[in-house]
Amino acid sequence: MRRIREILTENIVTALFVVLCLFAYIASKQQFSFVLSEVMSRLMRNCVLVLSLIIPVIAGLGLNFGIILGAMAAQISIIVVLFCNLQGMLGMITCFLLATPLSVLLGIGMGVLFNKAKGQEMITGLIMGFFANGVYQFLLLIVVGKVIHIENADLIIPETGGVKDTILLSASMQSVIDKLWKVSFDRVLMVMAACGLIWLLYQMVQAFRNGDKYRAYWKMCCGILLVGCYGVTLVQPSIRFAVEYCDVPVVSMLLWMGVYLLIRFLSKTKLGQDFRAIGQDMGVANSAGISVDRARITATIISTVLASWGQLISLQNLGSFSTYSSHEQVSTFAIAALLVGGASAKKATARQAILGIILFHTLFVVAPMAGKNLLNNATYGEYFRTFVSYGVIALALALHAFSKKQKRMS
Amino acid sequence: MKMKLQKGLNNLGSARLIIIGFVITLMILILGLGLQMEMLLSQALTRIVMNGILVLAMVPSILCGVGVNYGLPLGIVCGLLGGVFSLEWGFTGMTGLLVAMLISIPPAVLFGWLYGMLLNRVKGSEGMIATYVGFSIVALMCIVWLALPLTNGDLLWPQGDGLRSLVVLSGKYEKVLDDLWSIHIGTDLVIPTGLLLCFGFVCLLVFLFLRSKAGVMMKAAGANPGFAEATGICVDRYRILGIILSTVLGAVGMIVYSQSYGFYQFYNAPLKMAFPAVAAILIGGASNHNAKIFHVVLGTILYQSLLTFSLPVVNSLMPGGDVSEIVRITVSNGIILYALTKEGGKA
Repeated sequence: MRRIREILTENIVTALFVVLCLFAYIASKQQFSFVLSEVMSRLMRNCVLVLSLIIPVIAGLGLNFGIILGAMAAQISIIVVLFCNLQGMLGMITCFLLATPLSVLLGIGMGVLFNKAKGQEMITGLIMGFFANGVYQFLLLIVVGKVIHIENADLIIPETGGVKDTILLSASMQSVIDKLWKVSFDRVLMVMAACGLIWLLYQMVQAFRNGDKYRAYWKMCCGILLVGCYGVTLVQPSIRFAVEYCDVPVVSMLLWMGVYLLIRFLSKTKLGQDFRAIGQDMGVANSAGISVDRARITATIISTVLASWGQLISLQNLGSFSTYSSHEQVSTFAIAALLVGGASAKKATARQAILGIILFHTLFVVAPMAGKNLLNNATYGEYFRTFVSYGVIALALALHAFSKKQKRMS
Repeated sequence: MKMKLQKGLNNLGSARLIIIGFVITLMILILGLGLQMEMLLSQALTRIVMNGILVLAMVPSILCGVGVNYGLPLGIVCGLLGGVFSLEWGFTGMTGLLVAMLISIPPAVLFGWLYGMLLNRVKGSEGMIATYVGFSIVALMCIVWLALPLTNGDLLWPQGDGLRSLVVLSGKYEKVLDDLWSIHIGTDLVIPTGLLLCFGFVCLLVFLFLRSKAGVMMKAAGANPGFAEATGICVDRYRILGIILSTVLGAVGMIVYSQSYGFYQFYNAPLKMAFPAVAAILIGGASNHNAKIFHVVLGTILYQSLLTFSLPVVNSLMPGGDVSEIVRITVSNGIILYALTKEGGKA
């Protein structure tokens, strides 16, 4: 009983969010198939962005509010590619090739700043994002147009010469990655269930061999639960319909799984261990011969590059973006999603990231309709979800600081 | 004499000297480009004074040990709340302004108290939490603006429900303080005497408070919490006091700002209003641990004249294009960034 209470207090944000999501879902009276497919596409869209936050957390930098810079790098590279008139897959690959070095540079700059503001990384990252936003606008509105003159009717505002407010990718790069291979969700579920079952069986056999019977039984229960859940998706009509209705862009999924594996692989290497040592205690890591400043810069670079990739994946899925505001909310939403999954400024895992995205975006999808049904105005739902995304960050940070203080006292 | 000058310059610090030099260069450039200096000067003066109280709100929070108050939007929305009700009940002129302030103070005290209690529980990571508490309260107030049961047609959207996002104050109490005993010099140079007196009065109040027993104790609690606790000062209570004061000043400052600006802006407008105020006090020489009223005055003068003067210069060098927003964002966040990296370097 006490253990349950402990788990609940440790994951209070997630628990609250589950309740909130369920309530909003019921109030919204929306089709399960609609919600599932929306959440699925948002999961594919945002996963890499949220995963990009994990490395800095491990390295003790806290939540990297500076991933906005990565998103800006992605958008600048898209604009350049569109100007060069590269299309389709070629264009997308060029975007990746352009965005990577640009975000490495930005990451170095940001890492140096973070090293100068140790202990204040989060607020520095936030302000850095605002500052970079000013520079970004200056680049695209003033430098392009006043200094460099570009002739391109799709990109440029004719009167001032600055870059247009909305940029459409529909003719060039819309969902080039997603279109490569789409599979309906029930197939993916089948494969996932099969893989999970094999993995559990393997672990069960291993546990039996080691003589750890409880573990083996536990794995067996998990397996039965898995089969049961999968069975429900086949039998229950509305879930079955939803699962068949929903498409999964396999390549995007493989991409974020690749990023996930990359992060896992990184944390097993020497560099990853350095990150963890620094995250535990900077002073100890320093006296153990780890060059703290360098490792912290590396962590920031990795995060920025992943963020730029994430933004590219997300924009090709959306098919258009608003030049001067698409990046602004990137860090807020990614961080809120990660925190909803139960992460804190000190500890974050990929599993929390995925759970967080699912919960956070479920609320995003259903909140406007819930607002309309409950209060007769969809705007309530929209304001409410903005409030929730800011509030969840405030709450999670406050709870984290609170528990830190209590630990210090005891 | 020379020594004194040297010491004064050292006190100002290189960053401030650079900015002062930059402002002077801008003024010379304006004269050189043949732009209208008088109008710009009176514009700058008004902007300095109308932002003054919002910047002043940083002083109590810094002195009580919380650091710069990134949660200023909390006070600002209270000010807006007071403004809404003063307009809803049809007050105009100076009475309207005073009523708005009077209404805004009780919620500001309440919010400040709750917010102070929260900040006492999260000592050491106030900056980030304050920022996001400010953001969340702005988003929460969006729902309130939409839901307030108002009847005054000037405040509501013609069709649909909820408060307008921009409520015009002309004919209500637009510029009542600015025009009070205002002095016209030549055709374009106007000195907003009332506004200046109001700002001076609030500064004086804060100054007197800081010299009072409570103020001295609050400063002691902020400067060295451990020592203060040992001498019997309840640090947490004085931190709450500082935050309440800061929030109330934010509320009053917002009303003074709006009467000069001519509009009340609702919904997402107050979201990032804390950052210019933070930038202004930091540019004036304050740090996260120490601030004086002199820093407020100098900082606001430098920050606002930098913005006012840079605009026509940039515009005449590169005509077309909306530069004001870009200059504002880059300058204010650049200053905060500089201050953050400097403080981190010391630790």
